[in-house]
Amino acid sequence: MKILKKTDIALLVSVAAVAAVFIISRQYKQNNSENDETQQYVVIEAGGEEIARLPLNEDTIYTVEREDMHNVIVIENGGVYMSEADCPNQNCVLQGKISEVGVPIVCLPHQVIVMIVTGQ
Amino acid sequence: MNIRRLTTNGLLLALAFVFSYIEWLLPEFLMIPGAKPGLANIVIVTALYCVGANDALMINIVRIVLVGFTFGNMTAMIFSLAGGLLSLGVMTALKKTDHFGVTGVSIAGGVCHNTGQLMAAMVVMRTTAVIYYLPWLILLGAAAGLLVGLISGLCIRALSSSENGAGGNITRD
Repeated sequence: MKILKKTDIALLVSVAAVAAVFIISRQYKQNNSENDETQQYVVIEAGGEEIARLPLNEDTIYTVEREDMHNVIVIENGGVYMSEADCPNQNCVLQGKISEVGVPIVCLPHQVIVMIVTGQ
Repeated sequence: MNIRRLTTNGLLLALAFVFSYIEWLLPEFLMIPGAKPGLANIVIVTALYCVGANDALMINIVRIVLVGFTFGNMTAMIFSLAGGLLSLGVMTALKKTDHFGVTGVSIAGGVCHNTGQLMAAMVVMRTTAVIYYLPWLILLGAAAGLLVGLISGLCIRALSSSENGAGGNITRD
């Protein structure tokens, strides 16, 4: 039984390289699409279904209420954040504001996703 | 099932459960859902090498179900099961090829654990939006696997060299 082989290091390096390439290429794509003047929307999904689509440039407060679960979503100054949620881990609230296409706010316990999309 | 096997697996299960509890107390890293070091996997990797794939699988499934009922919810348990089964499956296969050391096997396990969980999240939440997290989860999984692998390697070495000492051993062959 060997604890560390050369192949282990090769595996680690190649896995890290693949992940890094994905992250960097996505960052690059995002920078390129920032010049787009098309309308951006906030899409709110709950339980796998889209429940709301709101323009990103209009300040609004939207509350998702399903069964006993509440998520308060605030659209403000071209960004969106989860201001309140009664989920156990509060990751969605702690994640803070997003203002770009790509990074979704995810509330796993409540199955609520908030993301920004471009166009229709 | 003889008594030695029963007690050994019971001890490993208890240990894995305690590690899961410690991890439950830790905050999640970097705001990425499910990003955890996977301390309980030290026990699972050690079990894979010391008591074999079948017993390691049994310990892992029982651990996930117990932890799910004690600290988690149904969704968390489904994610854990998906990650745990894919991870252990890949680790068993890689260990058989004998091309990798404990660390390499564990790194692959860490990556597959996170990939499996993400796939479960995509099925449960019926969305592909969470795929955004995949590259980060792969990186974090590899890092966690590296840590878990090195610690497990030391455990396995200590356990198999105690064979001739007074401490007894948990390995069988």
